[in-house]
Amino acid sequence: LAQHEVTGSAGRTPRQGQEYDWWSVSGMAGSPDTDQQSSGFPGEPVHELMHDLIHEPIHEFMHEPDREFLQESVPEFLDESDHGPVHTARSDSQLAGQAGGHGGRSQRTGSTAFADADRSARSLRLPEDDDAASVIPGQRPSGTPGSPAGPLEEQDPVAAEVYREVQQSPAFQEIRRNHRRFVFPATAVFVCWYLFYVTVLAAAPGLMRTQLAGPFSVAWLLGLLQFASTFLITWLYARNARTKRDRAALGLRWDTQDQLR
Amino acid sequence: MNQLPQFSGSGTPLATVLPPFPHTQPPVDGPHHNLAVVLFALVVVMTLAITLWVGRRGQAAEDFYTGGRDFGSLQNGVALSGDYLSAASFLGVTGLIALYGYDGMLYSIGFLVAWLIVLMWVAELVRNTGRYTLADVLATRMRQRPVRAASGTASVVVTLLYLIAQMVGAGSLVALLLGTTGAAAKTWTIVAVGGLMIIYVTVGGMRATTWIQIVKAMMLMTGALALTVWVLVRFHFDLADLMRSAAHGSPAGDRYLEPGLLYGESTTSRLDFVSLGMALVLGTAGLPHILSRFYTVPTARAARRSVIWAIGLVGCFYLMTVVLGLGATALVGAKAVKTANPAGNTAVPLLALNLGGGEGSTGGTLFFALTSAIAFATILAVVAGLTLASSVSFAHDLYAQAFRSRNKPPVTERQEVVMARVSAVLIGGLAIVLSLYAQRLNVAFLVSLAFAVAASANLPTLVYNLFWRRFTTRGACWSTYGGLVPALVLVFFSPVVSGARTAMFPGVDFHWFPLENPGLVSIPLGFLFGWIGTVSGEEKADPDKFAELEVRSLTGAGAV
Repeated sequence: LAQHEVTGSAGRTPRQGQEYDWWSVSGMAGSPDTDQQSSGFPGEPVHELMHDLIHEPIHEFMHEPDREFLQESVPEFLDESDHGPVHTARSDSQLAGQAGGHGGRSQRTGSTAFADADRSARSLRLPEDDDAASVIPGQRPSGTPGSPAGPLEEQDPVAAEVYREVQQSPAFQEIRRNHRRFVFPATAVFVCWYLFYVTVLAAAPGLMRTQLAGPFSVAWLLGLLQFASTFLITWLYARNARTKRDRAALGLRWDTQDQLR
Repeated sequence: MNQLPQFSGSGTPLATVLPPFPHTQPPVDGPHHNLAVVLFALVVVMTLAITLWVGRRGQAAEDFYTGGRDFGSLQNGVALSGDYLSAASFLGVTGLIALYGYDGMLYSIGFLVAWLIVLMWVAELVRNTGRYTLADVLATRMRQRPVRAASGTASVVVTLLYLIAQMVGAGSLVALLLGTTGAAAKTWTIVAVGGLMIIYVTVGGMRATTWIQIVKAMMLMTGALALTVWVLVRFHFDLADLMRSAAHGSPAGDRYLEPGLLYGESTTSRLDFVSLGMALVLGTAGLPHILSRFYTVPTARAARRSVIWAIGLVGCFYLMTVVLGLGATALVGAKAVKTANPAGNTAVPLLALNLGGGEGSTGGTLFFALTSAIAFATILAVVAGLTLASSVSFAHDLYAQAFRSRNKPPVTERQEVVMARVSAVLIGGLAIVLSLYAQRLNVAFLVSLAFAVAASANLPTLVYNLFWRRFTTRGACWSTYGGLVPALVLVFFSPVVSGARTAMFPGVDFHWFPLENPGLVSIPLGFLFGWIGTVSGEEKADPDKFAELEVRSLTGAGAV
């Protein structure tokens, strides 16, 4: 099951001399989105396997005839004993006890997982592959596995299981809480503040006319404060996302993708 | 913003921002028009060169739809601001500030505040869950065909309305800037702009469109910054002096610096402004050509950073429009601005002419032509972005999924991209034809309608889908159609179609809806129908699919 191992801990290994960009699908530093946060996750195992495995013909496994074969092997994917060297401890522990639970729903299996496998093949691109791809973009794996028209209607029960587990995990709940705890109040504040501004302009023309410095009146002050508050909320949101969500979300992303293999 | 803001509640002086072309008087005449023609040609050559240069790189769907997803967040941020800031922002909003002072600034503020919704509610989540279009985000947890049919239709309607508005506006504007009169010039402008946008999109796809946006946004920002600094230098960086001079240059005197000059005369006109404001603030987050920009970057984090860049650029730009508008009134005078164009669209070129040394001088000629060329580049870039978004929605959602017979084999990626190119030609052609017939129409209502439809049909569906566990396919269709149809119907029975002097059919009167913008009613209706459709249906939402959507949207697991 080569692709299983390939996709094990998708591209988390900094190659020698390369700084890894943790935030970019396309992987290595030098991608346009690199920034100060490109430090690693502590304690992640390093997989030298990947460099060799990336050259395995991953896409062979995506062809129709192979699907059934892979489909049957899905339970094995989730059996921890089978992938000791590749899985991280974290994802293994999260996965414990889920392997048997996918029999309940009757849907077609496989496709979604394969879509993800193929996507991660993209995310696995190593620097040399990346360079090649940017020179001849048409030749990269174009990220349209299986059905080019989009995700299938039926959900893979194994994937459903994984997503539900992740959704209920404390790590995810924390991310969601951090997102909503900022977005909901911030939206309420800026909408109310904007409505207050529009209303008070019409409702209190006398107050608005009050001059503060020369021709600069209260109305102009409030208008400029709208600009300032927009910039301020943007900055606060960016900081909130950077400090409270990004790192956890990325870790959870790879863990989830691990489990989907 | 890609839009021609307009507010004409009953009794307000501003009929349209881009009114029917004033046949009697070209604003200014002389050699600067010849120079402008040369610069326009340069802009065309440059954009075509970009298209041919980058368009050859990659022919996969990923390349055509998203430019390969390898743009940086700064590049995409600049392109986002380029998509958003149209000639109407550069010329229209500045003209409004020049003519109506403080109330013109309300547009600037509304357009900027809208981005907070894009930033916090849309950008990252859409990037994580979708692939090419808005309907992809819905299809993650809904039944494909109905939601793609609904959302694809709404997207095509929004972009088509917007496209027609931009092209009709372009016809008037280019004629205005080139100083030509007569219907033939406008007609040929529309055909030429339409032809160019079809070439950009079919040949270059998203990659060329993005680069055109980037180049255009840089030209626009540079031009606006240069003029702003120049105005400030003329007033020795004394803002109070600038404001006083502007009030002096306006017939309204001190009232120019106070709110209430443009709206606030009657309850209806205030309500109309609130309605327009709602559509603008909520509609931005549902515009297909803005949403499709988030797919050109590799990760959700890059999408967020590009929005942050865009907010910075858009915010700075709108602050500069305030200075430019005040400067135009202070230096050129509101009367001259209004004589040149009743809606004030030539305020910036006239300001440039004045700063450069005035009518007849070399500097004035040069700067008038440069400003006009920037406005022209802006028009071209914006229509290209719109055509692309429209053709992607058509090919990816409607052709490949919603309208595809179940008996036929699924559309291959290659067929889909071919169809996207074909549909760019078809939609572009349709937009040209409709724009030719729409030349007499009030342009601004088309744009505010496009925003209202985006806010009523796309945003409720998107927000429910991402945040409401029990939302169903039926609810998604109801909220899309339940926002789309009322928006269109209410406009049909509003004063912009009949019953007013500036209406589409001035001779008849069948209007009963008092407001010009339907947003105040149709946006709540979109939310309401989404709720009713969900709770009244038999179907239960699939908790597993919502789990998948939630996890994917917030972590990026499985994102393309």
